[in-house]
Amino acid sequence: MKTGIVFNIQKFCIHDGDGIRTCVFLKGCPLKCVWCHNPESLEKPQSLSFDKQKCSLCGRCLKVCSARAIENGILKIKREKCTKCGKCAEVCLNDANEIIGKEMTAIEVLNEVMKDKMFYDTSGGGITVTGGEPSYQAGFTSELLSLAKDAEISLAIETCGIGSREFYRECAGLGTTFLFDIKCIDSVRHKELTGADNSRIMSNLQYLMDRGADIIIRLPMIPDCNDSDEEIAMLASFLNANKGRYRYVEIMPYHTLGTGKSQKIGKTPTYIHDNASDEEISRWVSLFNSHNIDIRVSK
Amino acid sequence: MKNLAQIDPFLYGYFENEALEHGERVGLALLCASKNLPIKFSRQLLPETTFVTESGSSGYSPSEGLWFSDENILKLAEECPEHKETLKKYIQEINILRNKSKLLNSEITDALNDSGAHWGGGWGGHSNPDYGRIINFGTDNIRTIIAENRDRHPDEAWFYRSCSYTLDAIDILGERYHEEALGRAEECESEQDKAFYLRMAKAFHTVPKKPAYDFTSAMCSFMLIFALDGSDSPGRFDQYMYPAYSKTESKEEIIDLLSRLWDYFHDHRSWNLCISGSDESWNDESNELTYDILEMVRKKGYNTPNLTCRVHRNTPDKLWNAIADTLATGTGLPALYNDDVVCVALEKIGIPPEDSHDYCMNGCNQIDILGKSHMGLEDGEVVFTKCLEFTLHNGVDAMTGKKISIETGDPVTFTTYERFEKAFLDQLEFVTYNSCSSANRYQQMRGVFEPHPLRSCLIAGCLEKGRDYRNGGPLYNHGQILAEGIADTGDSLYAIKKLVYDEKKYTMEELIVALNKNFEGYEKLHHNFRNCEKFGNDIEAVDDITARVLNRFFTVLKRNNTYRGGVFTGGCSTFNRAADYGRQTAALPNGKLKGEPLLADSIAATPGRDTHGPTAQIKSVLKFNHFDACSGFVFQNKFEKKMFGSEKGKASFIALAKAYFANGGQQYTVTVVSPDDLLQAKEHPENHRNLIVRVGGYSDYFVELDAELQDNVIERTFIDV
Repeated sequence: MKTGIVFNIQKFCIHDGDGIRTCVFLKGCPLKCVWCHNPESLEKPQSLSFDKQKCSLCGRCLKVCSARAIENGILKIKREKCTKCGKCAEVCLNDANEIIGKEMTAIEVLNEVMKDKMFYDTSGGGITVTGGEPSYQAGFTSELLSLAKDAEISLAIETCGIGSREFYRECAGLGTTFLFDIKCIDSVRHKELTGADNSRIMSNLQYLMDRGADIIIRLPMIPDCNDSDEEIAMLASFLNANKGRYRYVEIMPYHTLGTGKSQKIGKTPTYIHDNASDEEISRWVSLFNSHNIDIRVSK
Repeated sequence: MKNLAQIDPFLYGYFENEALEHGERVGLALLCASKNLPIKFSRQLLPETTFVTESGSSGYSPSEGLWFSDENILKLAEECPEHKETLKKYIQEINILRNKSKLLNSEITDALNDSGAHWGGGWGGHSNPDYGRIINFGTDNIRTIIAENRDRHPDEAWFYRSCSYTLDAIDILGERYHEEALGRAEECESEQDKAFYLRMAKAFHTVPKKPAYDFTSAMCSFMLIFALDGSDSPGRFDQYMYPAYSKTESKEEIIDLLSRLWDYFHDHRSWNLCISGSDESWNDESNELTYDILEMVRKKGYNTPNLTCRVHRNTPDKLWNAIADTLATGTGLPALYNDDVVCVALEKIGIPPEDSHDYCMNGCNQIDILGKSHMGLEDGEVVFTKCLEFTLHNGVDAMTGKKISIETGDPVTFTTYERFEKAFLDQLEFVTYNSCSSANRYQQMRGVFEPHPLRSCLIAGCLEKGRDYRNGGPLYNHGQILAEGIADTGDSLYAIKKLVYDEKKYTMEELIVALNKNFEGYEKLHHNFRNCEKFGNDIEAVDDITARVLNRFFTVLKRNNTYRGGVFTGGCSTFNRAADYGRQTAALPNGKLKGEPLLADSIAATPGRDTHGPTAQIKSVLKFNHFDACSGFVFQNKFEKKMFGSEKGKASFIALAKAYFANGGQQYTVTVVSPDDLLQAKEHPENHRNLIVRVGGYSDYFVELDAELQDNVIERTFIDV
């Protein structure tokens, strides 16, 4: 039985596939998108999250941890010395410290997911494996999906598309719905924004479309990163050329949730921008529409 | 100079015939009132006359029966010197009657009541009279029922006379409305109002004596009785109004009347109107009027009347969608009740399917059989958290230090968790028995001193048995005792089991000292008890304990008969008293502080302690036995308004409700979140940990967001509203 590193199992998700779903968030992602909204998922092992808003500076954690000190009325953590032992979380009375990421077997995850079976039955929902990046824990994801298929619930993964062909073949073979991200259609720009070019991603997408997999294309729209007129025109021409080979396409407007999460795990966000505005969103929608692409907006 | 009947017809009608039975004199008071009270129309021009004098000196209240105000009668005496002596004599006699009906409770019962451990029988309650009887058959039909039954019960002749006087009173008011409407039509300047008055005048020529012939005449008949019954609970309005509805060609006339009625409901804070449902063969009973009502509720956006919609295995998708659209408007209406549970639950206490399928709600959410029952409501409440406090302190009320409950042993000496739970159940049983007997004393007093001829005419069984509505007359006479603080108690019991007995992290002695000190100086202990697994998160160990103690309560209740001739049944719905119960309770092992007004919202988790979303909470509350909760078993989820803004969101809500109901859930209410909730959540996150909002591409808990993002969500939601 394989184990995976899971950082959240969220129930009653209604925007990540059909019906009512449970999202399983896996840790670890090969891409390093500058706007990442789940920064706690980037590193595969566990992370320590510290919420300074909850900290009362009581000093209890200092007694169990040598990587901490209070300087100028602020609790400082020497991240490089932190072993993620979790003792700080145990002694904290304000829940300011939290170890993110838990090692679980696929069966353990499935048992938690199956608690909501009655809601999948009435809604046509099921499991969505997301992250992080499910293909980064490919063996675990495949095993989890295969168990979920035996349990007769709907399967979906949200993926950036960079995993191995073998991984996508296995998932598609199980009848999985793919929430497939295209972060940038221009390969050079893709590399600038995410650290990797998109050749493998686009090739996997073509492969899945060729074999008739159920695909929902998702476009994270990041102001000033991937939303230029040219960029959208290129995307639209790709989408037009493949019409009928995916179910629908939706844009995911940028939001700032990741900024606060970065700070809690001791990282400084590199991309700073307000939430995508209504004007920005309607500009994107009308641009896509002008290229004859019917597009949904994820709320 | 006014005569006494004009000054106070209730007093005059009642005291004019001093030699008669109390009950018959009540009927005579109503008859006298019907001739002398002013005829009133509401601002919507609907009949509005109620049984109360202009001076407030006396009246006939639906919940309390005939009443008198000494203070206001004395004022009348000062204004009318010629009647002063008579009025003062009446006050003396009223007080003799009051003293006779006074309950003398034991010290223990009073102490338990004052401590907030239970509450019982303090008022007369709502009802669902059979409006259809008047609307579709007329008062003459009820006279026939009296004629058929009167001779079978010669000793109750006074009761039948009292009911006949009441029917006469209704007809007299109808005739006076006919005259008054004609008069107003003549004086009226607006052509529209004039036409409306004339239509009503024509209707009151026929109703309420004879059956209604169209929607206007049905509405006149309904309103006359509804106003007299205190504008209480209309019940299955879309069912009994449908014969008249189908005889009416003008949709405009129907919508106009509904619009006036909803404004009237809003002005009078009317209670509960029920739509849809199934017949005993499970055929869906929704009709065009059902949909017109939902549309009216959407259009008006009022929070009254509390709209109940019955759903069941054959509810059509069209109705589900209309329900979701109505909830989307954010008033929390309708509340959904599941026939597949309620009807079966009612059958379990002996109500056959032909009647169980005629249930509706009165008041907030208490289950009644339309025109056939007096289900107590609410006879009493038992506060589980206080019973737990008695257990921890061996019968002592920890807020006052006084021993007011039974001794169940010093918990420090208990060597197993099972022993502790047994002690708790003993306390619960004692308080429950006491609550039932207290309720029965009130029932007995009301049966003798507060006869209710109006409801006796409109509730099946009374005229057949020759017994008053309050004295066991209706077909069904069960009682309702509600449970409060269920989740707080389950959480506390589980924390004790886990931390004291299983893991032995703390001793019982330490825990009790910490509770007595309200956790001061015991911060680590407090943190551990507060952060223990909680009910409402689909965690079997804690859910099982919580369900077990509630099921035990149901069992104990069923052993108690009501004075009126039924059994006590249980339920749970939280009223504003819940905050008082919290304030009256000391520190508890679930982490609640002394006096903190935090108790569970009906059968749901303690506020903010459900952190795993609506599906997990639904799974937890399904551990309860909803088939034993005949008094209404309220469950509420809070959603952000935005969820109902999309088709996917609405479909997800419907799937959620269907799953809950298919798996034995009884009732489901939805709160769509307001900006005010969000502001409070920001200020007191600890009480709002379950608030779900949409952020970016998914749903998240509001309190988990950064302060700035919370502001962002608050702003966004304000725009939405």
